[in-house]
Amino acid sequence: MQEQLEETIQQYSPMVYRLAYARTRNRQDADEIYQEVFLRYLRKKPVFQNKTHEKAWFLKVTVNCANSLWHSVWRRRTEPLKEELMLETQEEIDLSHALQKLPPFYREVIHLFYYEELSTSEIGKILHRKTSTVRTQLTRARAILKEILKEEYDEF
Amino acid sequence: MNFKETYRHLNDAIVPDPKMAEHLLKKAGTQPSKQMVKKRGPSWFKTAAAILLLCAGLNISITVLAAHVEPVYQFLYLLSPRAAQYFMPIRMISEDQGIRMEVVSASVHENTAEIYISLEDLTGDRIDETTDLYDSYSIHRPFASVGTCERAGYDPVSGKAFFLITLQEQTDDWNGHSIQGDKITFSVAEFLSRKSTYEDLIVPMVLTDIPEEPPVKEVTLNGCSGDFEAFDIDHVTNALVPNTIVDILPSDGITLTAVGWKDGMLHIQTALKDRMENDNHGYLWLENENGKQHSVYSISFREELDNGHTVTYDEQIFDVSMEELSDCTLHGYFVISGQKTTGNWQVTFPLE
Repeated sequence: MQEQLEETIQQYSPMVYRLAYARTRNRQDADEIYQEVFLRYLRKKPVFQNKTHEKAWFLKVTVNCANSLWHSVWRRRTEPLKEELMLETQEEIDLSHALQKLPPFYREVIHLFYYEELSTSEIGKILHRKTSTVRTQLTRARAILKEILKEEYDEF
Repeated sequence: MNFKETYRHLNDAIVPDPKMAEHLLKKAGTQPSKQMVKKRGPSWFKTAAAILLLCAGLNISITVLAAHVEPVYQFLYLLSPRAAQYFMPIRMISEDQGIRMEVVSASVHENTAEIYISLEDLTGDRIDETTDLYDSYSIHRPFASVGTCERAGYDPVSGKAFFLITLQEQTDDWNGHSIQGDKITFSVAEFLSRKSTYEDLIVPMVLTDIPEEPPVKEVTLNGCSGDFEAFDIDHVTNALVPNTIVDILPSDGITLTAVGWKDGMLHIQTALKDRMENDNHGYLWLENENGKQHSVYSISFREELDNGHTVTYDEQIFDVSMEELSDCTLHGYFVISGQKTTGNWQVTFPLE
């Protein structure tokens, strides 16, 4: 049982953390969301039908925890951490700055589409948005990024 | 250039601190497979803890140990059996307003210091299972670290509420630096108790007959959250005119004060009594068979009443269509504190 818990945490840790960071662009908030997601998992110990169901559960709970963080007035007092993201190229620096400017609402759509490679229909189910809404948000997010990055990318 | 490739490469580097996973397993009561904790603590305390562990294994009642191990440590053992083995007793006390704050014990392992604090009401019943230090505590220490304080538990027998302070060193040279002997000052200025938490309150409101152009007025915001930047919300903006519509929970002062369609978005406004003073807070969401829909952003503003009181209004804005709203119900999560106690409690103690 312990091995299974550790294995699941290890398997989904990067995915949960990256989505939390994509949404918040802040290590401290991502840490908080990450811990809350896995605490919920450890408390509930949900039984999954298959791996797809398991992955969708972690993505949904991460989005819910990120939403709760936005709405939370009471936040634990912690001291700010220095930004630890190591950026290797100018492209990555520019993209990171552009993502920072993108409304969080769009960042999670971009992340689920480009990193997790989910379809707009799958993203809609996770974010509780209509597929058409996700498509519109993806188009708007791309347009904002193109505007910030000054057409730097040939292919989106 | 390909956006997807750059985005993936950028994100590949984002990984969580592996220690967080260990911490999670500890919290869940599951021992991480790699034992990383160095044993510390005086022999008598380790012996006591070992007896407790043995009794737990043999299913012997913990109360038979009362003569040998102080109740506070018995309770600490219940809170965290594994951690109890390594704690050093401290027992330093600060009293004010009939409230006693005690630094019960501390432990240092790896790059983390864990300290248990208790609060006890010597004259009344202001301490309960909901007692919360919220934002009113401070931790002073001579080394760079991230510090958190969380509620650890409440012992109904002794009437003590326990809090766990965790300090995690942030500097790169932690391994070469020992914090043992460093002094820490923990102080508390106020705390809340008698809190009521409403996890999922259904707001009795018909969502099909909402005014399309409700009256608005200019307000100065004292807070925003969510994606407000995407909607160009200024410091001074228009909000719905407050007017009691539904008393959601009159006894706790939760009121729905305005609702309406504005610029194609649904605005719902609530007021909470003593929101700023007592850290009362909450939020609403819409729900249908497809799940929950949270607001896109929210704003808050205050108004002085004629009787001298201040009311804080929160207005949440939902990106939802009238059609989507027709099969939704409105739900709320609220935390309301019944009592605030102020004072001056401060203890300085060494980490050993």
